[in-house]
Amino acid sequence: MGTTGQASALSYRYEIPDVHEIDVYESHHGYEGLKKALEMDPKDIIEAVKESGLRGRGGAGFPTGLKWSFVAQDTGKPIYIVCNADEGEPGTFKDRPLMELDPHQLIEGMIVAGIALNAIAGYIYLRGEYAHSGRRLAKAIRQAYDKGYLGADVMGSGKRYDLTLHRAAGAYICGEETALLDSLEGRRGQPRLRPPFPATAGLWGCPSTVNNVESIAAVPFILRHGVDWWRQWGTEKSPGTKLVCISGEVKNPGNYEVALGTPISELVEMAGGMLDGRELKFFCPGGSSTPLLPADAADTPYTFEDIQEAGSLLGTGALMVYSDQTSVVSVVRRFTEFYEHESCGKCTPCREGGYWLSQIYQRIDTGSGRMEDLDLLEDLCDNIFGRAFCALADGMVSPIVASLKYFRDEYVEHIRQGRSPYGVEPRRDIATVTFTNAGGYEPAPPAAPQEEFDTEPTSEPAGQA
Amino acid sequence: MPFTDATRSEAQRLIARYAVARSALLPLLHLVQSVEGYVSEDGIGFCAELLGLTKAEVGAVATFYTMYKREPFGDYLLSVCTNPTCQIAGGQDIYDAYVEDLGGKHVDTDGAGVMIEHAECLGICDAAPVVTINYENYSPQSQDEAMELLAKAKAGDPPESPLSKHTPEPFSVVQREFSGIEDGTDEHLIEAARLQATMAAGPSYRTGETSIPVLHPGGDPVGHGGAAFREASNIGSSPLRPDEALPDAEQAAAEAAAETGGTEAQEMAVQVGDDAVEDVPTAGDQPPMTDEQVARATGEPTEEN
Repeated sequence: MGTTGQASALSYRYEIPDVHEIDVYESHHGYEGLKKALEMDPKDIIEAVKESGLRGRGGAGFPTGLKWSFVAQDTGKPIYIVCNADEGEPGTFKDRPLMELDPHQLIEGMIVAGIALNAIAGYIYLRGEYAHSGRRLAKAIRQAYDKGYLGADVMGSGKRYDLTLHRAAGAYICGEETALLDSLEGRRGQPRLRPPFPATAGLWGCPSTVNNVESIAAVPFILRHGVDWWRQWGTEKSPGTKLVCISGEVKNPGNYEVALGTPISELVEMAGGMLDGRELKFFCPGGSSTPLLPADAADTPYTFEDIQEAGSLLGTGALMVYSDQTSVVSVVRRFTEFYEHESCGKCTPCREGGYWLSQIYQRIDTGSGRMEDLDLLEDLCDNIFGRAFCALADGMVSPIVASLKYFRDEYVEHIRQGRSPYGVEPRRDIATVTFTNAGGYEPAPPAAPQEEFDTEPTSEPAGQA
Repeated sequence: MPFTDATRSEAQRLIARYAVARSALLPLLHLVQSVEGYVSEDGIGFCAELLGLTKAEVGAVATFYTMYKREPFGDYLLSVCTNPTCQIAGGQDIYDAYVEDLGGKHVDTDGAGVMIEHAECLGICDAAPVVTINYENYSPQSQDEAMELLAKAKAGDPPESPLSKHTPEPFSVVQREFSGIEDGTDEHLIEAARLQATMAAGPSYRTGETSIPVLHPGGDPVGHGGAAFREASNIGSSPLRPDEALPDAEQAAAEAAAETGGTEAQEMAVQVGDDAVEDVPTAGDQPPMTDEQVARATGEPTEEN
């Protein structure tokens, strides 16, 4: 296993003033990953990403290089790169700071992805509510066009590559890649039947790839510094760093870049530890759709494989921490209402099931619950999980099933008393963030001195063997 | 007529940025909101007309997404996050107090005009509880602070966001920004879309919900999802792309592409699978329309009317 703890790779430019301006970005090794990519054979870029073991950061953890290698190159149709910037999972706020503070990093990644896949154009599908990200990205794209990084002749290579910022309009389901494509085509965002996969028939029936912001942003770093540099962090199956957004009842909620493999308890400490007088009760390791885990799983290393073994998923890297003073029933009720609202309505189990589930939760939470409701919940979940087109339905039942597994006693007590056995007063003191920069949160201090990253890498560049 | 020629020409620029016209629908609906303050009936008709869709198709999209508002309210939209992390920090209390302040309603059109909405996770959980005014983030640390945000928004004078350092612009201005019309990369994107649309095997338009052509029961000759197969109207650089917005050179290219439009329908049919080809209606083998159908298609009144 590589080093663990805080790391500084994707986030290392966050604290540089005005790095969202192209001049500042360029003076901090900006667009050097792209220069490297243009010197390489596109196949070697894909190979380097494969070797790096980079896994998709949008939730599923599918290897990015492998995904790219599936994109059909011989159809005669144009190839499209689509960036999934529709960050909407409750608890997730890792892409927003990246786009607000260092938007050129994403743009550079999009161009590199385009070079690697011989793509003709890229689309950043941005969550509509992200007004500030949109402003920053739009300006950055304009600057990249002016400087010749985008357009008819990318850095004098003779290749044409265009980038469109497409602002969406508020629908969590559009984070699902085929629903995203439908939405980008001007439709209701509903998932498509697969196959055909986007790699053969994606946007407008053309070969496409849909990647998360963080996955795309990592690629220029990997090209510039090499596979070994990336693999200094993490494990064999989960190499590299991860942007983790820690929220909930901790002293310093925020964005932290960490080496994969760092124990979850250490992440909580990194965020200042639990608020005074509270103890860790349960946490969602990767966002609301990942099964929550009880406090005794806190020593699990933060990797895709270890968290899966512990019975949950790493998801988007949204660690939500809750204390012994918080009612698990109320928290799960909110999650359920979220999924009820965000179900696209295509599949009956999800559309109707979400409605039933939230009615039952409302009943339990307001004192009209019945003991048999717990079995009913389990039965409903059993009939929803895996019975819908996409993973939204699975995400809907995950917190319910997990909370019933670990906290059934609390449910029983909640129903018996007709209210939560825990305090339900809102606790304002949870918000202890300080606003030190325009991005709106205090970035994690770099683990290593910044100079280390501003010097040339010592390892061999990827794909140049 | 609420939509001026200027708006129309902006809409056409948005459409020309995409190789397949319909992709501009979400940006267009933002543009409609910037003019009307919400997605009006006229706005739906405006998009439908420009994209060659039915009003029902546009309405189906507009009602799917939460950022498209279905009633006018004024200048400021306040969204209160009530997901768990914000709820624990008091989000629900803020929402309840806002609604109470508005007398149990969600819209208050006195003064600047505000709308209150329940929001799902706004992606800034480290600032819980989160309230946004026209999508600028705030983190009110007390109930009083939260109420002050509402009061100032009602008075048309919202404070600067401590997070983005931006003061919220009125809703119409923000929606204009969201449409992307001011992004400043139009010329590149329009040229790129033109090149893509005129490729020999370019991007294609998909009808209906599935890629399998469906005939309506009762022998309606029009394919599921519109008249796409009959007219090839929405495929690639179809005649429904806004020709009048294109400069002369592009106009010529678009016309050349339109001439091949008829065969593109066939190509697309081949692409969806050999089995399906036989079922694809073409102009040649369609059953003749009844008078009533003709009237419906052309919008002429029938005797019944």
